[in-house]
Amino acid sequence: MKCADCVRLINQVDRELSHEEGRQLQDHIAGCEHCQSMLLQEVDEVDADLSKPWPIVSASDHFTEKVMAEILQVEELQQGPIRRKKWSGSRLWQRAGITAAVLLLALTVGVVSSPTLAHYVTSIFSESFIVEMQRGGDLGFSQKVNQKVTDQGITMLVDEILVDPLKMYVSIRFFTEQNQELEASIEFENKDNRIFLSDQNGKYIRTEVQHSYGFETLYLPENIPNDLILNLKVNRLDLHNEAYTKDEKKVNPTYGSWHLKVPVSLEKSKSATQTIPIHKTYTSPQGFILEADRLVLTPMESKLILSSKMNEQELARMESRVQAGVKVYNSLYPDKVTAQELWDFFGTNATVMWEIVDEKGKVVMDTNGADGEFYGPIEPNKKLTYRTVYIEKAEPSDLLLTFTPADLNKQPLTFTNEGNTFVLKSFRIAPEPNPAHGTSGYVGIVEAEFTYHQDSYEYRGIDAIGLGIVKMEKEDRSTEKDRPHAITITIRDFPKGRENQPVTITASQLVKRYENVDWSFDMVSPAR
Amino acid sequence: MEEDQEWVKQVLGGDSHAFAHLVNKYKNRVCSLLVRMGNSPEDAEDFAQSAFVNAYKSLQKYDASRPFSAWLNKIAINCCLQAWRRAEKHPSVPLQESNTAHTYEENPESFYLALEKQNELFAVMEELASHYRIVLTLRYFEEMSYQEIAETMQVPVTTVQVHLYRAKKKLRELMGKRGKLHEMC
Repeated sequence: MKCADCVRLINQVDRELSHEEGRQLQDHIAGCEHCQSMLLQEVDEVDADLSKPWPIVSASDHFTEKVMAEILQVEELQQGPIRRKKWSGSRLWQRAGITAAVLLLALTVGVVSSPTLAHYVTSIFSESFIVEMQRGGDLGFSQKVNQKVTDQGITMLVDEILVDPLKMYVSIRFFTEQNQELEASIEFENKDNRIFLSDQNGKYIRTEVQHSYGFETLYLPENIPNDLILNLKVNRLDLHNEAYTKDEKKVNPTYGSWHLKVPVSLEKSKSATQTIPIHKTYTSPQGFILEADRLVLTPMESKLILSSKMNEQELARMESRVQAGVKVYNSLYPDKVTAQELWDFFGTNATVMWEIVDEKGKVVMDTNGADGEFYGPIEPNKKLTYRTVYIEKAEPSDLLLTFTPADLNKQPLTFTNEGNTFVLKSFRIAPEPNPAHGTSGYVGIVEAEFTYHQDSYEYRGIDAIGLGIVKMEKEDRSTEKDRPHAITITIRDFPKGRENQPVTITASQLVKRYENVDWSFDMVSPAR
Repeated sequence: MEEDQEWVKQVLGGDSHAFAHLVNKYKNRVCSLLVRMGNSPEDAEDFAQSAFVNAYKSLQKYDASRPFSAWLNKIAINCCLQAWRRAEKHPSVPLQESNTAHTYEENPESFYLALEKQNELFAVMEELASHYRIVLTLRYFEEMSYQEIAETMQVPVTTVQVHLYRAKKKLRELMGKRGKLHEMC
């Protein structure tokens, strides 16, 4: 085989090598440095991307249990009928009592043992990849429930609850009469099913409920009593058909009556929770009222309870932005919006980014995009300082850039919007490198210079009316905000000849980021 | 690794429950490997379950001087390849990204950008023939040597090299076709 044959074979990517070809290639490559080096040449972007860590796919919640159930079955079969035990369920955790007892003894006499083993047999929450759940499970704040109710041949089991004064995680599972676990879900946002808390006298306690990571999560209000009743009224179950395809998940609604009242005690987690009262209010120069209420350190997490709202002045300004947004939107699009819809979308609160630092200036807690939550212990008796990093708020935009593209090459056009200045300097049409079927095959490119107001962060929802998608390639403008920045606006699917007709570019949102917010205060972490 | 050996010792000493630690530790890694090889998440879990059970059954044969994870992965790959051979079909299901567990050390924005970029690459990988996907997975996810891949797939080392070369070439072609390569720059 010659090098040319070898290269030809190697590059035929769409057919598989025959065994004979493989052998011939091997013979040739073994003695040919040129072909060897061609094969091993790996440095390019694809290679670099492949070489980065690949994402890890999570196994399903009960994977370990399933494996262990099968292993223990194998074990039993190997050991023969005499030693075979009859397990009541498929849960490893229910079957691990002996191990747990042995382990407890081992720990008592000081034999070195993995602490995770103790936790693993203690709580299903210990197995979670959610840090707060894992911590709560590991620290023993999970409550075994094992309450069940059967109807229509289906048993609903509430097996464990993990609770602290901020959140309650509830694990609900379903089984057939043969004790086979069913893949089922309950939707609580409908009239059939309810999950709610009450006090011991049956008084309803308002909570927000979310389904996440295989658990129902109830967000608890402040000053919640120690003794609660979790009320579950399930009248409709959605059983998932195992034969579903990825695109079409088959769900069979099954009706019945699965009602349970589960007593839950907050006593243990409440006694382990510390609260630093803050009760501080601040109004930013832009009219955002920030209220830091308290810092709560529970066994599972630490959370700063901080809220934001607008003052009257900012509400009035927002109302004018809403009206302007409605006007522009309704003048451009056939589907109309109302002011109320925009208010509902944008809301009256802001995103507040903050951090809490210790005496050395080390950040011990911050928003980190996680809605004010953080996970990690804080040392006792330390002076902590809260600092606001910035306040961000999206508002309706009335940006309107209307221009005739071809004319830009003769005369640049300048627009202003909300203190931002846009100079559209030139226009050209270029072939789309990889045009989609049914498109013009061209893109329109506007070279521009933007000068942003110091509070403007970015426009979102940019659209060229009646044309293709608009992309703005921006310079990094994290510094020197007030200088002009070169921007390339690319309008996809731009028909040739269209450059002599007016084009309108608009944006649905303008995000403002206020960095000149000077609010900080000190507090002391509790003695533990 | 020492921790793994300790658990293996406990299992071999009669405490089968200790095996759950190994399952817990490696389940996501094994499932990821199998998904990347081209299996649906459901099939990947089935193969992973078989792999763990097989590993448990043949734990006596495990050479404790070598990493447990490498031994386990080999079992998982064999489980999958055997199942494919039995079914005489190669999977072509899309890879699923919704259930991935990631961490980021830089800022969230750059993390998500990198993630998006990588997800595009994985999306394009779906279009590759399964033998290309397997060599890419073994080489880049498992970080196996050419020799190890050759042994696992029972093909000559040259075939592995050619498959890898072709897989990346095809990947570049597909990325180019989708017009994604230039956006990634």
